[in-house]
Amino acid sequence: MSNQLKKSLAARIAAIVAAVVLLWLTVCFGILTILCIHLGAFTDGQLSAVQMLSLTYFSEGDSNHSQDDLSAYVEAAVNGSEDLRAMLQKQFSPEATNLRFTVTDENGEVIVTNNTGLTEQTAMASLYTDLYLTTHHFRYKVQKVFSSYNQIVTTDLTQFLQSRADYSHWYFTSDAVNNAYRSGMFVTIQTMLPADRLTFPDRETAEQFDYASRYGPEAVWEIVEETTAESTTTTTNADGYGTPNSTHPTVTVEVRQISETEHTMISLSQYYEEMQKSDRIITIDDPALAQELANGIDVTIVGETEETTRYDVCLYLPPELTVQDAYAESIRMGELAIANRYIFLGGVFVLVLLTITAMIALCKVAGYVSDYEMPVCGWTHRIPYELLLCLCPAAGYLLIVILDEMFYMGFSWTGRAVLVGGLMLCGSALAVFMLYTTAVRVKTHHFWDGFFTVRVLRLLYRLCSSRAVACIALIIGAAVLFIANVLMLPNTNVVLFMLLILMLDGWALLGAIYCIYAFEVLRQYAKRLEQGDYSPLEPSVPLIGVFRSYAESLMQINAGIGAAVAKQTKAERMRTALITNVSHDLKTPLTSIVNYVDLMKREPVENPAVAEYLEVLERQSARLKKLTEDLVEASKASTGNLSVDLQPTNVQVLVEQLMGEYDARFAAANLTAVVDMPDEDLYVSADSRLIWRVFDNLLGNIRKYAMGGTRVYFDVVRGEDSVSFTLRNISESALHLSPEELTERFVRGDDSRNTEGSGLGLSIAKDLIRLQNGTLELRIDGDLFKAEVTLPIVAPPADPDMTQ
Amino acid sequence: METILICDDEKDIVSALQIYLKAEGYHTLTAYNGRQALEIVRNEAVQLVLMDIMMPEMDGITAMTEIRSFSNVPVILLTAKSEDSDKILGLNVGADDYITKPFLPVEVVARVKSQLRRYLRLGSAAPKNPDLLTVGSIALNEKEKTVTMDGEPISLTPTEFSILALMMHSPGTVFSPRSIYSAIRNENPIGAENTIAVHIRHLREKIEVNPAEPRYIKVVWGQGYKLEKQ
Repeated sequence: MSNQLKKSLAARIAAIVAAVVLLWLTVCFGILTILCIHLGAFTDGQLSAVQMLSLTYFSEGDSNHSQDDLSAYVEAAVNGSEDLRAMLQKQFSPEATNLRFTVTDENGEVIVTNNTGLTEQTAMASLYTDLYLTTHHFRYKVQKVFSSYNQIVTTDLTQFLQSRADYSHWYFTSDAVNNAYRSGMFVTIQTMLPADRLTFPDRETAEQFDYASRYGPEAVWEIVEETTAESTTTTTNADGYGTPNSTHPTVTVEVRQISETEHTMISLSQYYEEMQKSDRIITIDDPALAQELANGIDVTIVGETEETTRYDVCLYLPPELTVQDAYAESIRMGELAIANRYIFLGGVFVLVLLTITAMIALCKVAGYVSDYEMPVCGWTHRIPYELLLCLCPAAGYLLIVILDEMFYMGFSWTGRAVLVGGLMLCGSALAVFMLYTTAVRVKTHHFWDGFFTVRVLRLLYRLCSSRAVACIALIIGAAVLFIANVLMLPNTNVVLFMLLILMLDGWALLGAIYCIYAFEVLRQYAKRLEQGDYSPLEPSVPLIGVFRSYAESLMQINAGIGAAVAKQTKAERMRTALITNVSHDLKTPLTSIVNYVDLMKREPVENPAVAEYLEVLERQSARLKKLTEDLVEASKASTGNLSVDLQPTNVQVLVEQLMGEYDARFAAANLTAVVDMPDEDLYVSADSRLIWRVFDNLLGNIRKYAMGGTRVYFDVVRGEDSVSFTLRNISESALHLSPEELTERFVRGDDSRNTEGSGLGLSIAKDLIRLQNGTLELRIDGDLFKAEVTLPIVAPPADPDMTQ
Repeated sequence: METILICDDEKDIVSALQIYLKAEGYHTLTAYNGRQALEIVRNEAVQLVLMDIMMPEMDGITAMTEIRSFSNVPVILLTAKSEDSDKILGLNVGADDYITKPFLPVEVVARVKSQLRRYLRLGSAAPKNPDLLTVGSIALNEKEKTVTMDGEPISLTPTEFSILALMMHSPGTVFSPRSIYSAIRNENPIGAENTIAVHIRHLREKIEVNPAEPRYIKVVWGQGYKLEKQ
């Protein structure tokens, strides 16, 4: 796509429109394909009424034949509700609808059907359902009133006892009785022993008889029979003889003893049960209640009973759909869909590809404004992304809700098509818009900016970088959190609040942990720098805010030190290399000088002056040699480039060895050595080679510069933690220099510089002693020259006599 | 007459050495870099090589390593560096000896002679004598009480002999003056142990080519003395 075309407005409009239309078509075709699949178009290849009916059920046709209506009709038919039935019959008449149904009971008897003329089910399909149209529950109310207690006890008690099982609810008008029924009542039950019959001549005797003494105080007696007149009766026996029976007046009393008395709470029904038993006497504790029960109780019984009957409903459509109702339309639609199913399917694939192309084109074109080269982020694209993101699911939800609602209202297929199409178009437009704005944001690198939360977080982060703000924010935040926690305590039932507080607590804890971690990292880094480790800082969790600035300061210091150290090391290395190279370059010509002077000496020469000149040459070249050797050594000693191997050194052995070396030389210079050493075995820490160099220098100086005929004193004294070696001698020539000047490089005590010596000796000696952690001090007092060497005392080695 | 190859990039040094060696009666060949030296050693019969280390084109160490791959001819390195590490490196790769510049002509001649003696006279033909102690060029016979340096006999005092024999039994070991004293006093009663140093000095002057830079008897200052392993 050429640039110009890319940027033109036409291109953008075209891309947007194309994207929306194609997406919409894809979705629509997709829906149609799904419909076909649901109808089984791809598996069977033809429409079956089963699927159509289920489709129609799901989609819900007009109210002419809703399933609620059908259910009502069936019920009306079963129950014999003529009005309802008549009303509904019109709906389900064969002229009104294509839907045919047959309702049979469990025996197969047809209860109701609107299928006139069809004896067999020659319909396209049949659909059994006992799911929606089986009558399941019937409820009714029964009102029966019991007016007298007696009736309950004697006559209707059976009814009560029997019907109890049928009715789950009894309602008594009297509250007391209700309570008794529900909670129970306190009664006294007395169980009686079998009755004893006593006969008395007359009533008075019967009444005055002491029943209590014989039967107990709680005995109950009752006159059951009373005969007053005398009467004569004749009993005739079998052979005809009569016997006169004369009876006296008697009073028969039945006495009952109470064997058991129980005081308990029983329910009303139990009461009635107990009443039935002849050997019990029940007394209700509450006299009012007893009175009421005796008078008779009004009872309202409300009960439920379940009666389940099963009805089978068979739904089908006739082969010829004569009525133009929703079913006919649905079938027509279905046939249309199935006829074109491959078009839809193919169409989906093609459209998907086209849509993707359109989307890509859209992305490419997105964001360009005609005047500018680069894509520009317009105001629409600055809307916080969260809003847009929320918009999508909101719109989607709305879509689904609308669809859901609309489908259950009576819409024709055309209506539905238009509705769905329209909604899908809106959805596509929204999706394309989302894509467009995302593309623009990404292209203009404003994607993350577009998030409101990101902007807020960035602001907070920047704020935190400023220390003052960070401190204040921290304090305020901590206070707020504390208060919030305190407030939370009584309000734990507000779940959202509690969750919020918990989350804040969690964040605070994380923050604290992070602070501790960051401090630790910084501390370790500083420690490393202190110990001279300049490796870079790489924390596993990056430091932010104030910690980062501290870390950066430390790293700057590190870099600075590192650079300085590197520079110094380089400079030292260069200097050492320089000196080494120079001395090496000096040695080569020097070798030739020495050699040829020697050769010349071997040649016979008459002129004695020549011999003298050659002596000079020889002496000077020897000096030169010493100088070049000293030069390298001095450089190494001063920079500490010498490898120092400190070992326990026996003082006595050392001094003897030194004297062994210098005895003859001193003698030759007419010097007498006086050595004073402690008797004990002393060890100091020194490097054997270097210590020899030091003393060689000092003793050599003495040999060169001491006045002949004098004594040289060599004293070794043990100090607290070091040993001092002191050399004293009288100088031949006057010393005008201070000790500091003497130890300067290239300074020599002998002004005339006649004697050999490079002037490096003392300076080297001082450095060498320093490398062995000792000291060298010079003191000049008139002509007295004193050199004092100290070395640290050390423990004797394990096996002093044999060492490797 | 033995042929000696002198190799150094400094022409003056080469000619000086030539003069010295010719005066001693040796036949000399010259080379000015390692490559030339290699050529000569390959093609000519040479009994000793004096080679400088720092040379253009091919330095002394490399050349010597090459030479060692096909010849056992003694090589003495002339080195201006006086580092111990360089000396050890040189000896490790097969040099027989080294001389530091600037050198005394006397020392050069002495070492050349010593190496030639070893190479030509001693070699592997000499039968191994169990009584003989050898360290480097020194051969000491305890029974006969004789000491030779490259075959040339050296005269030592009994004390000096005892000290040398003691040290030659354990080359590389540091002997304190006290232990030397106690080891030899049975055989050679001497005055006191502080004369050990003097004896060592005399011994050094007799054995060493350059007593100021001893190769064999080294002083370990503050501890004692040792006979350096060769």
